Amino acid sequence: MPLLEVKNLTVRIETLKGSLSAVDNISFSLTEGEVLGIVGESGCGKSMASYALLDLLPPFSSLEAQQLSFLNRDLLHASHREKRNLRGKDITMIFQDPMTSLNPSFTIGFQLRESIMRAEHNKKKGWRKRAIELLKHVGISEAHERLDSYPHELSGGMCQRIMIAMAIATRPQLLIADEPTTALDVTIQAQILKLLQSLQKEFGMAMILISHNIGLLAHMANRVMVMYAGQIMEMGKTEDIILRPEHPYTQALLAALPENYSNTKHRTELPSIPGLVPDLAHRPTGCQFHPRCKEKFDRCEKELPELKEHNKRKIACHLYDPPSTKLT
Amino acid sequence: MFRYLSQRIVVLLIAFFGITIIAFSLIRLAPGDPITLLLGERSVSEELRKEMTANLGFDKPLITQYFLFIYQGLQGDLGTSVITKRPVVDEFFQRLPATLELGIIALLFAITVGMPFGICAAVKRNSFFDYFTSFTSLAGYSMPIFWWGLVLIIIFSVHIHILPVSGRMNLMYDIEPITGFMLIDVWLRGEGMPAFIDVLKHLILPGIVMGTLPLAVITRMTRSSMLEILKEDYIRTAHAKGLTNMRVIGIHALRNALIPVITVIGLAFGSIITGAILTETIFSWPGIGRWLVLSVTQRDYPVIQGGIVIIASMIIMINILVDTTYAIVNPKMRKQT
Repeated sequence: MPLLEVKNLTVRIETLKGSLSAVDNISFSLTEGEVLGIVGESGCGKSMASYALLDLLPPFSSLEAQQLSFLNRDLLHASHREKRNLRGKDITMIFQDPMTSLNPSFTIGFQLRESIMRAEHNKKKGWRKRAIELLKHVGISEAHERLDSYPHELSGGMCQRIMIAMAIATRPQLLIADEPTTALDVTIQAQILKLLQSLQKEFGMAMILISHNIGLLAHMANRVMVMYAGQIMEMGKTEDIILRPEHPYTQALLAALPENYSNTKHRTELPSIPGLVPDLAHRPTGCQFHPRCKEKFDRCEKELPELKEHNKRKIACHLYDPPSTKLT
Repeated sequence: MFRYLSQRIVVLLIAFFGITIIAFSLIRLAPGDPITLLLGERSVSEELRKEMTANLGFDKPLITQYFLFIYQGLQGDLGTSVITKRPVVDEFFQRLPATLELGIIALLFAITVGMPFGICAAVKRNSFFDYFTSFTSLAGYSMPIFWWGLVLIIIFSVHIHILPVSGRMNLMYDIEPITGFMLIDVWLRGEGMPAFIDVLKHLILPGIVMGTLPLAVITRMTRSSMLEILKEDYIRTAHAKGLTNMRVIGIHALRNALIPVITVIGLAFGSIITGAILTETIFSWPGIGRWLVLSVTQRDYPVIQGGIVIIASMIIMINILVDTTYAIVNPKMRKQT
């Protein structure tokens, strides 16, 4: 039984330039205990897709979908109250910048208590003990004193650990981590990822890990979904996608990793993908990636490729999809 | 925090001395003098006139007069009124409760109406309610106080007869002040409920008039501060934690949005003492505002300069208090040394 089932999800943002689709008709599912990595450049709709799941979309945006269900509960037609009950309890989330994601005016203890109360049915006593337990669980020493600290007194890594403690307080079924390490030092990044990995194994919770670093997902995710301009480019098992990428965009993302760069001694410049992610108000025709693609041909400019099964994965690229007219 | 406060205090002390100079010199630059007004139309000899001037100390050079004013002022003696011959300090503190009572009512009105409206306008941004609030607060901000006061009097006192035109209470109650706050004194003098309601009725119109400007400022400030905060990442976190909308807005957002609003409320309290001048004149309210206006027309130099200096020091103290509160509300400021 899938934990999460998303079919044809579209997120629209109303702007002065008109209605833009930040997430364009994507479908995916997640089974219990599975880690799904979502990768793509900034502005590809990764975060938007996850906010849509939690009903956390910013103002002036709306979602459409054929199906959106969590544990067989229909989220599309659920009331705000039902969705709120799910949030922060069965589905929790951690964010990109831990320093600004904690409220500066309240102590860590106060903020942690709110999450603990969600799990323990507003039981007022004993939260302190549970809070200390949680802080120790995420590797914070002197947990006692930390409860009375304010966020600005702590480091970024420490704040992210506290966000994680809040996210696991309710033993959620699904944890969404939206670029959890982007704002942190490289040394801290590894620690946070290790912590997330061990907690995921320990609780057996499913996780959606959003990142623009495809290398990071290689160690963490069971499956990888590559997004570009709000659409899915390629999706499949991590080893298939990372070791044998087929979509030119996935290949370009992998080639842009500095790790891969250091192996090739002759390069003088860090490799990058030329061009920019398209402005959603002026989407290119045909395949969204074609203006930056090295392997584009005529058809790419005219026709939007469909997401199709190919070689143990789903891929949206004309290279692997011979035109149906030629087949007949 | 100590350094922050001491810096503020030094700045305010400099401002204080600036104010004494202005208060002292401005009224002397205006045409007319207290002696002429005291003598009225009677023709008196030049000697008698000189004698009176010397008695009041106005014959000394201006510089000497100024330093004498500061020297005595620092010892708590701001001189005596030329007209009533009573110490300025006594006259001031006798009238202060009336102004404070009105000011507190006005500010309470401004806060209890302004903050909820500001919060709702921010939460329901770009709705009809938001536009209505913005328009009304702009109107309130731009409205001349004396005109607004007269309009309210015409509507509620002249046409519908539900509220009194002026004064602090009906003449049938003759209450000797104890604290000076009539809302309290009616109970201390054992007058009971009818008198209390009468005093309250007299407070409504001047309270609204005096509170209109702070109301507009507080509403707009709460709205813009709230809008700013609602965009913050930690508000998204609070929503993601599954907290109710009430809790996210009323606790997580409001606590942060209040920081600038508290500053505005403090400043509004200062402006209320100055706003008293117009409101008290319209409603014949026996407070310091009307007292000052009266003393200007009588060229009562000691009252004017003394009154202004006391008001200025009060505003300065409020400012220090606001800065301290600011530091208490904002944990980031608290821990800095």
